[in-house]
Amino acid sequence: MKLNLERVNVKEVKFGRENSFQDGVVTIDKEGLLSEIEHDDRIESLEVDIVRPGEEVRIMPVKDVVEPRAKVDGEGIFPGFIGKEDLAGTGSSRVLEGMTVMTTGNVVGFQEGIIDMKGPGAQYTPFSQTINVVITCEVPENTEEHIHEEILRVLGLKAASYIGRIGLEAEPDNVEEYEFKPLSEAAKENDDLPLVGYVYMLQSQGLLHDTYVYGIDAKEIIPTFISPTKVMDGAIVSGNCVSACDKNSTFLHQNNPVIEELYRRHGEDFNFVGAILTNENVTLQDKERSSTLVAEMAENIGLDAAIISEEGFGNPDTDLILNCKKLEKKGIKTVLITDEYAGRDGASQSLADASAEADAVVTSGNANETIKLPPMERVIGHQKYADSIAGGFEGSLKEDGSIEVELQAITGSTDQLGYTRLSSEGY
Amino acid sequence: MSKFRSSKSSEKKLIVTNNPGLPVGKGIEIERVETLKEVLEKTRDLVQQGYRLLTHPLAGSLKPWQNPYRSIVLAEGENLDYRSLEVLENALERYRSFARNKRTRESESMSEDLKEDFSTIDRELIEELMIDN
Repeated sequence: MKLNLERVNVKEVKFGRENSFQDGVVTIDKEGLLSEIEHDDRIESLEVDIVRPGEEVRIMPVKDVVEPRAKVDGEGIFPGFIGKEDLAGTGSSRVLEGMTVMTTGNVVGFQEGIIDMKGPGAQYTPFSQTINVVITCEVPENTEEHIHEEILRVLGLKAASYIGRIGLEAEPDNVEEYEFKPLSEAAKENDDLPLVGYVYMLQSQGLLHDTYVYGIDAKEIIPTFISPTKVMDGAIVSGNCVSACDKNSTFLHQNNPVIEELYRRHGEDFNFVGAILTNENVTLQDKERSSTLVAEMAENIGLDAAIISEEGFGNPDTDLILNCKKLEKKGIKTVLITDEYAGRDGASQSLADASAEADAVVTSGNANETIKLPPMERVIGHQKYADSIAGGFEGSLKEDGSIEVELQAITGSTDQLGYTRLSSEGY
Repeated sequence: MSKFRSSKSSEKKLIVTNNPGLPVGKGIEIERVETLKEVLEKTRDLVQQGYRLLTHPLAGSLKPWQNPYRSIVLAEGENLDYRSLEVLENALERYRSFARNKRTRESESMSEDLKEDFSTIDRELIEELMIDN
């Protein structure tokens, strides 16, 4: 299975009478977009804004971020929602790089997700560097939370697919080819190099903690071996609202840097064979079952080593450690990627679970670190919720409109796939 | 490595909760307490009496202890389940460390809307087990 990612560099996005692409400028027919995404009669109002890097704008609370993409034959991506199941991960996909679709909405009172396009907050989110088409959607106040979440989730996918099709008019700036080979063939190649796989953990704990695989709620899946090219084509969709800093928005699944890096070093440092998707469920029985099946699958594939990325924190720390222990017990080396909740001074224990086998861990940052965000000229969304945003605390919204929050409240600040603006330095 | 054991449908289940929005489940006993700390302590007492954890005592990816409500499901047993005790002691230690720094929140300081949202989230985490019974 081969996928060509045809990347188109976007320099500017604007509204116009017709959809078009010219010299790096994406023009969106706003009315066309609105009629495409108004998919549910419970939507009360829709507003669309374009925000650019450096503008004095704060967006909150951000629900999801999605990259506009389309299959070059005109079909959508996101199998199970929009795209055709048999096309995902194969053929060619056009990518509008440098822009996103961002949805906002207040699903529950303590929702979070701040993106500042300018100032100190902008340094902590990758989405201050992209041109964002921000969709503010209002639903009636008494809308049930699950329905509200679903309306926003589907709306984001529809908008990204609609805008993604504009890219079909463009000439790609570069084309990358990714291949997923039959295991028997893949294992024979580079047989002097270690066989490496990726254990891709997905939040799956109910309302606000959900992820979808081919449209299926991830808490209902058993671990699955999947072509990384399918992930690039939107096989994984975020239904996750909480913990802005380390939830994997749909954009991050589409652009998973762990997968890209594993491909980049494939054939040189190791032999990358594919990804095992697994969940992070609530019951201890589910945690045992999923981690056992992950380890058995890794063993059957013949992996020598695996990268394991967590999504979220709290009881998923237990899933991370179970996956690590069970793989190591089978002689499969592991490297874990997680962020930390080590208190504001960074001195407390970082994870809720630990094990001696977890001896190779990459951190993506301490989500408890606090930061002061100055007031912005313009706020898209609902600033009054800042006080109850996870990572915010009583009195965090000052009279002048500035906010004091933990990094946890900033979208993508400590992303556990590594798509962050944080780095570390040795002394 | 000690493992979490699976639940059997014949087992007697018990929920320890401080979530007022948790409905009475069919064939499932509910032990109601007031505070988060009491939920954890009551659960520890039960584990010491031979109950074992069916759900993890820590919430999903909300800020630790941001949700003032917590419900934990246990199964009745006769022998001490060391894995349950370990997981619970870890959770209690996490709770104490956050409480020391005054970073836990109680429901009294919240608006009704917010309380209701937190209650829904907590309920949803264990709903699957409630339906099974």
